[in-house]
Amino acid sequence: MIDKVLKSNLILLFRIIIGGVLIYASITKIADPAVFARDIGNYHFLPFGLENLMALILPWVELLAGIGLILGVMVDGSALLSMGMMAVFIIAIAQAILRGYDIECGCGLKEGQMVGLDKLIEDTVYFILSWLIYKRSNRRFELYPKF
Amino acid sequence: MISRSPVFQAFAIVIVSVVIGIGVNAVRTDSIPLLAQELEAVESLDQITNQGPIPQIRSVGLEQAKSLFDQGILFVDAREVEEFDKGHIKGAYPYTNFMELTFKLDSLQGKDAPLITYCDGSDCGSSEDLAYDLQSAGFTNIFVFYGGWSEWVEAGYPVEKQ
Repeated sequence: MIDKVLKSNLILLFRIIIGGVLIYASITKIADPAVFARDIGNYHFLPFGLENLMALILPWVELLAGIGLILGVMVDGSALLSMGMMAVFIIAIAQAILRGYDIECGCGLKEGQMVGLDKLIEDTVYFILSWLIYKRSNRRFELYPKF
Repeated sequence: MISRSPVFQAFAIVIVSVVIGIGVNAVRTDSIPLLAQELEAVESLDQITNQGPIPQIRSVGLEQAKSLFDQGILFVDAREVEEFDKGHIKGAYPYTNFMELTFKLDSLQGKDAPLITYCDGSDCGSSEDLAYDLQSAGFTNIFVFYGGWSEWVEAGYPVEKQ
């Protein structure tokens, strides 16, 4: 069953979905890094004021990985990064819920949403789709590297 | 070929992102410091009427918050309205709608008068978020009481219910 999916053109659809999500999510963060830095800070997840550095770099990783997935450039690396970022978001949101934080998520498609179970599920779905892309055997519509 | 390695590709994307991210921040007008700085804490209460030309957000501790309360400085509750209704610092303003709040605060005491934002306690971020939003709306003398509702209640200071 999974083998069929990995071979099918559904992989292309997944690439467009995850790529779109990443690009969309990166735009508002790139536009206003100060807000995103405070969102990260609220998670009490990073030491030494590193939230600013994270807020400056992470959105560009999202943007580049998103473009890579859609255009078919370094799809392996982009999918790996997407999995990594989703994993970090899932852990960050889960610990925020467990600690009872009532904070803005700074994640996903809409600004100003609070952390909650729906966000956790949303990011888990993105993680699974990224994993399927990473494991794909269908390498059609990829520009670089050519296999 | 090395460029086929997923880890190599991921690493390359991250490196490019670091360069672009820090580079763009260096040239944009609204850049942020590479490391986040904590809000400047108020050391002496003489400072609170000290109006410099630059808008300021500073933090106050419990005792300072209480003295400001005694001086009649306005508190703004940044929590959800349901929480506010269950109990809040006596005389505090609820945060229902941002436009409404800024309009009320402006007409009540102007944009340069001191005001204090607070939320649940040190683990919440909404007091600081609200402080920055108010600063963007033109308010110049804002204090954040990090201890918030939980420290205030624990200290047994005046509260009220809606």
